[in-house]
Amino acid sequence: MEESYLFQQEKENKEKELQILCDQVKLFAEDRRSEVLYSLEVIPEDKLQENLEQLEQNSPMIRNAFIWSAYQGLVYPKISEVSSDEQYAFFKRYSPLLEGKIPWQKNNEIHVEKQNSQSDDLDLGYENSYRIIENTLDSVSQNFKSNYEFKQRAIEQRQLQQSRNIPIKSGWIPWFEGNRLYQLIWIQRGNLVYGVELEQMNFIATLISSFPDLGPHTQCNLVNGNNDIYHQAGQLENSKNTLDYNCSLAPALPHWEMQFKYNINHYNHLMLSTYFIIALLLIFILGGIFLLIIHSRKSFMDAQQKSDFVSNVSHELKTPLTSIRMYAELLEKQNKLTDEKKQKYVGIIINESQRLTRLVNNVLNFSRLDRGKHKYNFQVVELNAFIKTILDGQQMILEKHNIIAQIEGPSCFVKTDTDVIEQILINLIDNVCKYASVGKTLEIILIKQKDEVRIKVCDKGPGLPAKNILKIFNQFYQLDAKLTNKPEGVGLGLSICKQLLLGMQCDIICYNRTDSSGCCFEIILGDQK
Amino acid sequence: MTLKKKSYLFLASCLLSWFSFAKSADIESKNHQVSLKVDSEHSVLHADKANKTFIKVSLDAAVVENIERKPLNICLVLDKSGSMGGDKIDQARKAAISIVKRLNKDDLFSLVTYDDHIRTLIPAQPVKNADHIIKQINAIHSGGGTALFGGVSQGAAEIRKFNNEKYLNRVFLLSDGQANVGPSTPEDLERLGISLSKENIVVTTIGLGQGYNEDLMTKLALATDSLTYFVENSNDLPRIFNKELGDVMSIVSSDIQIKVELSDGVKLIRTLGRKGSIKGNTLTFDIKHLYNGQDLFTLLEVEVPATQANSTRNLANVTLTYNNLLSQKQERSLDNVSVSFSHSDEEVIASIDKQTQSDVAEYNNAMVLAQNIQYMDQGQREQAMDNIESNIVHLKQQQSTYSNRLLSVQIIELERQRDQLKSGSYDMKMRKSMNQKSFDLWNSRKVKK
Repeated sequence: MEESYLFQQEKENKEKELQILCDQVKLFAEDRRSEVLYSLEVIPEDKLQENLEQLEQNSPMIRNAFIWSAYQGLVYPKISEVSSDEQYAFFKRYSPLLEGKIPWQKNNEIHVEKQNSQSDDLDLGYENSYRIIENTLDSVSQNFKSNYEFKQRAIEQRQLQQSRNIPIKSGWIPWFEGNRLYQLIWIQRGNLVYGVELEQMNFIATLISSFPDLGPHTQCNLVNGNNDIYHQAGQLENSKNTLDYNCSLAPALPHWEMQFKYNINHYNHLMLSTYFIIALLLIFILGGIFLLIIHSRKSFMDAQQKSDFVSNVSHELKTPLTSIRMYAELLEKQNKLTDEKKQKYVGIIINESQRLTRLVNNVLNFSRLDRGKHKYNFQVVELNAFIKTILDGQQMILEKHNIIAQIEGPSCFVKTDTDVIEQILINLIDNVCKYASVGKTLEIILIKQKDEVRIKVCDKGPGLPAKNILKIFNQFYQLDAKLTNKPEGVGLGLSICKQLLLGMQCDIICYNRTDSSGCCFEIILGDQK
Repeated sequence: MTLKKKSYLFLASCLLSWFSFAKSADIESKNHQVSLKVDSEHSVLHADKANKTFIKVSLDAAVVENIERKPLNICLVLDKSGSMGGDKIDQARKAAISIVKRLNKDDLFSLVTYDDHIRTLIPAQPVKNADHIIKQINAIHSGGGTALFGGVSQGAAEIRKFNNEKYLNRVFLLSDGQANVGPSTPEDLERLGISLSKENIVVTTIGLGQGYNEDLMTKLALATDSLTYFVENSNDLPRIFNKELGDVMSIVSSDIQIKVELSDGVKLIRTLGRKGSIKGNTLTFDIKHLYNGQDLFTLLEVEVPATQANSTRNLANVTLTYNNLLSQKQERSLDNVSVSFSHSDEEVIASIDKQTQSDVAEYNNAMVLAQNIQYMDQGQREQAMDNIESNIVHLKQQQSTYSNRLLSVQIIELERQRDQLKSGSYDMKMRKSMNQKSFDLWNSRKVKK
């Protein structure tokens, strides 16, 4: 139902469009004739023949000119033995008119068929009364040029004639000879009728070269009464499902027709838009599913990481706690312990509780950073010496893993948060002990640049798998257990380092050494203002 | 009253002729670009009886070295219908490209193609980006019907965009087939040509192969005062295009008008060659262009009324006006021709202008050919043979009477035609070559090179 309604609607619209094209062609014809008529109207009475000859010779629109008198018949051209073939043919063509058999009279109807069936094979058209011409003057389409000056002169001439009480009549006759259209334009002043025959081929040629644009999916044949094609314009993309629309160009061009063929792509449009919508929906649905999967996978991983975290934290808390508890109980129950042993046990308890403090600090820092509430405390420090003191503090753990640490680089003063630097370095040293102890080396290199200081912390361990380098600063991220012999910690250390540094507009990066002998972390410190 | 009127007229004409003589003398000293010469076939005619004779008006354009040519406004209208496929369209493209290459950036170029539909492939534009134009020409492929009329119409519309004094216009129309979309009779195209000619749009027509309509192409070219070519082999296309372009490039004068004012009592019988327009006793010939070093003449047959012996009579006063494109000035010159009368046959015979007589014969041959095409079209081979035969007899008679050796060329030409007609079958190729021959004779355009 809806489709056929739309189809009808589309068809009607298209037909209206085509009708406009027809009207344009009609206007073109009327405009051409008006133009010629103006040029006839401005001719002064005393120089009639001279002017008409000029027109005939020079105007491409005009084929023949003539002057006819009610008393003498054809005055110009004089038909004699020196008349040209063209002049003679002209006389013969219009002889019923020129010999006075048919009056130059008002005849509003066109009797083409009736006249055609007569032996003379002619079709006498209608004559425009003065007022009708005036109307055409005004209705001349703006699409086609009209000569304002000409028009003005014509109107003046007309007023002059009227003031002298000479009746002016004018008109055009669509004349058919051998089924071909000829156009005669005439003006009557008193007993004199003069006018011109249009150059029909020029008329068609200019019509063709200014033929209206048809737009897509439309083809048009301009044909005369015999179905002779004068012009073919436009192209159909497919010859299937074409519709026809013919419009007559009468009365502007009697018997002429514009025969249109066109495709309505309305169905196609409908189908197309339906397909389009379905495709769009599908994309949305698939997209939704994809997002859901990603999301649930992420939540799953988050949950996984969190449960890992909890178990790691529990484990990490439990290990030192167990040691502390165990050695504390030993100290309580075993009275026979030597002083040396007691000292050792207390040392272990202190160490383990320090480790516990670090762990708890990390977790606390993390939650603070997460909420953006970490407070920095900047002070100027000489890095080289500062790092040496940190290394001294870590000497025990380094020795335990047989790692030799060294520091290189100039002394450099920088304003920064020393607690942060210490925490990061301890984290990094801790990581080297955990993952890269096989390299037995820890190098710390200070690099002083224009606006920044870089602290490189390098090891000679197994290096980092390339695919993991980017993830290494993520929260809860830990290297695969397979790659690390002893998984320890909670996967927060590096993430916290990064967050702390970013919080004071500094950064940390990580890369494998080019000779694939271990990896480096590089702390980039800007001077705090 | 009438006497008084006549005396006034006489006075006026005296004044006028003095004026014009003074003016012509003025121009004479400056060396004409085009010289005018008027001759009659006989300088002595039979006394005391009416005579028929020919007046020959010749124009001779001087050879000018290193002319600075006017910018051209060239439009190619190319047939790309299905029949143009293969080598034909290849050669047409080549011809078009060679034209583009010869134009410079002041010239305008446009290209319209037609099959069932008309397409303006290259709208009228200065030849600044020749590479781009050539690329588009190379993309032309054949297919479809033949909307020749529409093609020419569109070509003319492209020319019209810049139709002004600054440019010399020219449409080159190429077709290899029968026009089947749009008005297609030779008369229709002739009328189109006449109207284009009024706008100074000149169409050179080039028919390719044996399938095109030579009558249509000839009439269209003639109506715009231009040439038509029958090109049998598409390989010749680039050469013909270039020859024609070369001619257009060497145009030295335009809007040539010859006014022949016949003296009282002298009656016009016919003109050979150009059609003039007649008004009273004045004949006007309009010629669009003259090429560097071109000779051109036209012939009028007149009847001279009976005149006493030993008197002379002025036959015609001829005025030539033209635009000298090199000096950008209109120039004008005058000449006349008069004959004397005698009772002596020998004197009359001895006064013959042999060249003019031979020229008349050449035009006659052209007409014989044109008539024969019509006979042959109607299957009247015998009438055609008779036509040739009677003309050969007539020429031979003339030759012996006037001992004019120049006529033998024309006789040989007719005999050749006769032999061809006798032996060959009348096919499209023969019709086309007959038509071309007739056209060439009729429009003898000799250029001194």
